[in-house]
Amino acid sequence: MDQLLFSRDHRHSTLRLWGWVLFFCTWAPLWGQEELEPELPVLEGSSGGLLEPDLWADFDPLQPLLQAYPDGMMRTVFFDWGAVFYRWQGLETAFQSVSMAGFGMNHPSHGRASWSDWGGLNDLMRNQTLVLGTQNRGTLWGQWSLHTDIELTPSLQRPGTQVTLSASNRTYQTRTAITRNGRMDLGQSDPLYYSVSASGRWGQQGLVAGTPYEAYAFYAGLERKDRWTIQGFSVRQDRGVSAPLTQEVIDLLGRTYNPYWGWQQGAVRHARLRELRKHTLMAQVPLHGVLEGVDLGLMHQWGQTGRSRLAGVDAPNPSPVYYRYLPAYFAQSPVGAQWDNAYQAAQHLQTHPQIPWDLLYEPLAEYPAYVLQTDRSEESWTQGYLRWNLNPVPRWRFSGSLVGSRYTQVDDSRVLDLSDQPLVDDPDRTEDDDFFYAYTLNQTKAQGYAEVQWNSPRLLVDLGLEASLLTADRNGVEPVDLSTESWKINGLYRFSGRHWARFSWAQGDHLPGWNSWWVDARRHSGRVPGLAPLQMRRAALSYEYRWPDHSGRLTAFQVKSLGGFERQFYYTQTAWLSDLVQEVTTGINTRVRGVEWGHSWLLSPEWTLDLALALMEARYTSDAALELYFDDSAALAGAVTSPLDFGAVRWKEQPQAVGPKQAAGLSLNYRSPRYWWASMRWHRFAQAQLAPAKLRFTDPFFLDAETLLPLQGITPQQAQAVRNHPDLPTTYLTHLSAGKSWLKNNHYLSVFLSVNNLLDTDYFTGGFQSSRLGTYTAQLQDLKGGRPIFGTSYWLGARRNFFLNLSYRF
Amino acid sequence: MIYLFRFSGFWGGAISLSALLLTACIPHQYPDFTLNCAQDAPNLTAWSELAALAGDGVVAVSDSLWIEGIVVSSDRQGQYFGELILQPTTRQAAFNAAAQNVSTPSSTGPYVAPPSQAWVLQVEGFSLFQRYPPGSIWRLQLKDLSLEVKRGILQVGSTWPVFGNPALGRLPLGVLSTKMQRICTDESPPLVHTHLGALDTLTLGSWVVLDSAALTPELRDTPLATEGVDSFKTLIDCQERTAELWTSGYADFRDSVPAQMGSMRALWWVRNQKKVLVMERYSDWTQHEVPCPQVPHTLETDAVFISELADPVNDTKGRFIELYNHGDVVVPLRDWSLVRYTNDASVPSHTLRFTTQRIQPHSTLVIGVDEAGFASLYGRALDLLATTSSAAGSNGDDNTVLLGPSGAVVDVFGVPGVDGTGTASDYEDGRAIRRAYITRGYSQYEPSQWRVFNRRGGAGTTQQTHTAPGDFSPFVHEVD
Repeated sequence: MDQLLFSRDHRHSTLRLWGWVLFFCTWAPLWGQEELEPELPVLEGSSGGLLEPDLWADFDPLQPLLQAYPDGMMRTVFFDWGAVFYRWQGLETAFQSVSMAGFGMNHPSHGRASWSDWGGLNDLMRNQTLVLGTQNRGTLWGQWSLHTDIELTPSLQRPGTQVTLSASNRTYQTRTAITRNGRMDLGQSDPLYYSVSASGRWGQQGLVAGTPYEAYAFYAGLERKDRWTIQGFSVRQDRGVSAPLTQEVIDLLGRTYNPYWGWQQGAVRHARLRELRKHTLMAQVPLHGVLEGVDLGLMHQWGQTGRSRLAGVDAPNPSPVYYRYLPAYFAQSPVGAQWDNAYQAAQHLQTHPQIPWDLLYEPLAEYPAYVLQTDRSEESWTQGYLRWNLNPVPRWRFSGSLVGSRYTQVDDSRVLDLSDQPLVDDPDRTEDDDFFYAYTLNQTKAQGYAEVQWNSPRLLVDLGLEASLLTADRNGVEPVDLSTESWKINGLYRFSGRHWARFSWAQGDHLPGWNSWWVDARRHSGRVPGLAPLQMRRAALSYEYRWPDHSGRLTAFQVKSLGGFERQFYYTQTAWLSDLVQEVTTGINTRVRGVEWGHSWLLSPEWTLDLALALMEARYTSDAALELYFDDSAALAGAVTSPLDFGAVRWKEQPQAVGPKQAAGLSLNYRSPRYWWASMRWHRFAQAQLAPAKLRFTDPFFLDAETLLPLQGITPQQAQAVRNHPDLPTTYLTHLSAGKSWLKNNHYLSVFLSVNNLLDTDYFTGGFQSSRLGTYTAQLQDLKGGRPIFGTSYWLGARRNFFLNLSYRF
Repeated sequence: MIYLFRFSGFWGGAISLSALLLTACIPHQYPDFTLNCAQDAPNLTAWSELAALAGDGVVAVSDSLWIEGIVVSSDRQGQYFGELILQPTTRQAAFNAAAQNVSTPSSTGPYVAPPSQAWVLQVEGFSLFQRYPPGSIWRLQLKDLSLEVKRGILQVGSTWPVFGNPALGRLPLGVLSTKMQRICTDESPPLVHTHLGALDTLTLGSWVVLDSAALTPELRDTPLATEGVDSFKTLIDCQERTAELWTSGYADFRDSVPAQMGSMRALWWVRNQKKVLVMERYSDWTQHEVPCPQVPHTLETDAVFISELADPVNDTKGRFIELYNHGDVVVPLRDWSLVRYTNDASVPSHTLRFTTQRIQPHSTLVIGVDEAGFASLYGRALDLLATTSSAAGSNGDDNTVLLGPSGAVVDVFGVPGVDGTGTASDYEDGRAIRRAYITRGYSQYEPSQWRVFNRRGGAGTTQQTHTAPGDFSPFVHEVD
């Protein structure tokens, strides 16, 4: 293992505890209250999952256990900060990369590594390596933030059979997994290593009401060491999602409210489900004996994803927390406060907080008033690589890869009526145009990466170069040709064996997932104007030290990104038009800089104290440009045509919402010689901002809706007051975990309990402003009463939750 | 694969058991929908009791009161906003009738439709038709809701204080859903087949079907309504009967230009204090036929002439003038006028200008001065009511001129500038009637065209007073 990489084996051994517990899918009553559903904007673009609630889906309490951390700081980041949507060095998850068996796993469609694609196979994920930033990664370019390399090879797995049973209340309630690793000696030839694993995860609901969970995963791998490896895994996951809530809804219905479910004839029915079916096959052939240090690999992944939602077709909104049903709507009525209605609406919400499925059924309707629409993606992804890792002369190492990939995605929508009968597209109806679409996206990519490393006792230098060519099209027409080029240089200088300094510089292109390239891929192949990769520059300098009792790392970094773009879809009422729009923002330039310090102090052989501190500043370094695209075939008075140019987004030097910008963690760990351990962790997060409504930073926001002339007499302070909400409240969290293990006659039993948010603190992990009101006057009016109709939506932090794991290995 | 795992009995059992019990957490099958129909049948409150409860203002109902209705409105195409109009069910009508103190309106005078017992629910929301489609039957619990009777129509909504005074607000949709009970009977609201001329006899809130209706010719090339502005347009049928059609400025079909004629289904309702027809959907108006040829806007013809002038000796309320149309087409009288020269006046003393009146072929038009008195004398309503200072109110010694729309004299009785007393045109206490051979109007007065009866006699007249009604023949004129 390269010295610069930190293998998982450094991890504290007791963290490997596995256990089992027998739990059933608990048919507990849905104890949650209600929730509010704002019209949830969809945001895609270069900043990745800024508003992406589904990151929860990928969160697995077991995952942090499996990582190999370079230092205590990163352990804290992964273990505890990730759940608060802390973004390492201000970069979204789309800037992180994952490789598995040498294959880059960042998904071409959204650019992120989808951990769900192998969720549940934790038993086989022991061999993970985490690389910070753009440091040396061997054979793959990766991305601009963290890189995780997962090696699944059966021969690296711990032999034996392991049974794991877990209980939790966070996302799932029960997890069962069984894994067998072994070898078969076949006479004179090399032994065959094999791994098989199966797991299931189930939950009636997580911490939030109405979030059922059901997932299965299977794996089988066969390896003839140094000859070939074949492995495959298959994952199936279904789950219900939760919603961001406005303060009004939180106050009325509580923090665990979820508006996405309701009662139908006494049974619980969910309105928003996510389905995932993924199948992956991988084959690797090392060319040992032919070309030492050269590997060939071929991967094929296919499957489907689906996201369903309940929608009204020219019908009252089925969401119980649609803004017209909320007290604020009546209290803020433009014709005078309707207190009686506000009171009655509040009462009604509290007694009828969920979707009234039974009311949505109307036998007299000519066309279904409500439909269940599922956005489906059927994917097929093939990639092959040739990679090398050569050490021809002392001190020099040459590594790299050539990767070719072909990706196809067929997107369409399936529309069912409430009785699950499929509906077909009727060209005579305009209302259902919003529901039916179908298109195919194709992408072919060739990528090369080459790295050269020179090592001496004092100094280590490596240089990496990346280039890629990519062609993509929608429905086979108007192909997009893009290319990226990047390079990086890393240096390590060892002052002594105890302390050293690192330097890292990288510069080049970053291409977001292609879902964000199109203004509205469902309707046409129009692309985001000036579509091009982002230009990234990243510099980091760190100092690391390892004394017997003290070790740590201090890093200063800066990341600049130029030419970012984002796309958001929402309904808005601007001075020029009121319509469903695709908001396209281009020319987003940002800069993140900061310092982080992690320190571990060995107080005694049993006690350690870990400290982690991160401070950063993230700002927009220039104004961006905003355009609204809409369907102008719908006859609109005023003769505006799409796209509508909103000019500059005047947010230069405004803070960028990238999670908490101040984070501090302290953890006290105890490890007993009698094979048990415990750790208590305290964290503080501050200066997290809301994702801004970009419209509020444009000039047309300050137009008079009647005259279309600029409003007079608005001071910069007044304008700023409408744009900005205060930072999210500072959050303090306390976590506790403990474990114990027994080993007897090769039978190994361990138990592990972790309780997060021990003090049950209420907190937000993020939020976004509403873009519904597109004029200053309307926005000011809405904010005046203190209880806006179109208020900010918040993602709520997890309440106190536990994870109990029992594992038995023999 | 499972043989690879060498489970002992306990482990194997535990795993198998858990696999069995860990059934799917996400159901993919749900119970079938069924309508949640009201099972009980509480006593209903009569319309009149609710109206009495509401009185002149907005009143919140504190007791448990029920009212039933069938939805007859639909906001499917934007014709209604924030309201549901309901007709009483049979059961509600029975409760209404039982509570009615006066069984029928007064027996004299023209027919007056009973007050509408339809009621209106004010609701906050769009696309109400998907939850409360037309034809669906509901029972509403009125407790905690507010009532108001607005121009004879009962309105139900929420309380909404405006400057301290209660007003009627729109109910939140969710709140309404907890107050409404579905009634699953086969009852459907009656569909009244009628014609444009008979709508006034119907109660408001009736669903009507008209065999033929078209817009009046001048409206056939313009859209029904402009955006944001509600419109009233006149409908006409082949019998020249008319009624008003109302279209919302937010209706989906406001841009349609209905040039044809056809059957129409609509709600007989009231908007801006006018009784109007309200279509729910544009397709409710078939428009398959070419409109009947319409009479022009107005027509100048000498086929219309004065046929009878009456001054009964016994009752001045029986005075009238009768016009007759000897032509074969309808004559619209717009801009025609009937001018009175009182006594010896040489300038007009009174001008009665006609507007929408039409005179059918070979028919009469009777102009009187006292609607009730005329009706009780002659047993039939006037065609046109005028003042006593008009020509119709003459005491028999005045001169009358009928002018066409251009102002030209079409017909004349008497000599303007000359007092009729004692002349050939003196019909005081009697009458003047056109002789049967006269088939058109004459711009010069010719006494020989008339038979005149009065109390004096002389100058070619007959001295004989006439008594109403027996000696007069309004609405009837004989021509050879």
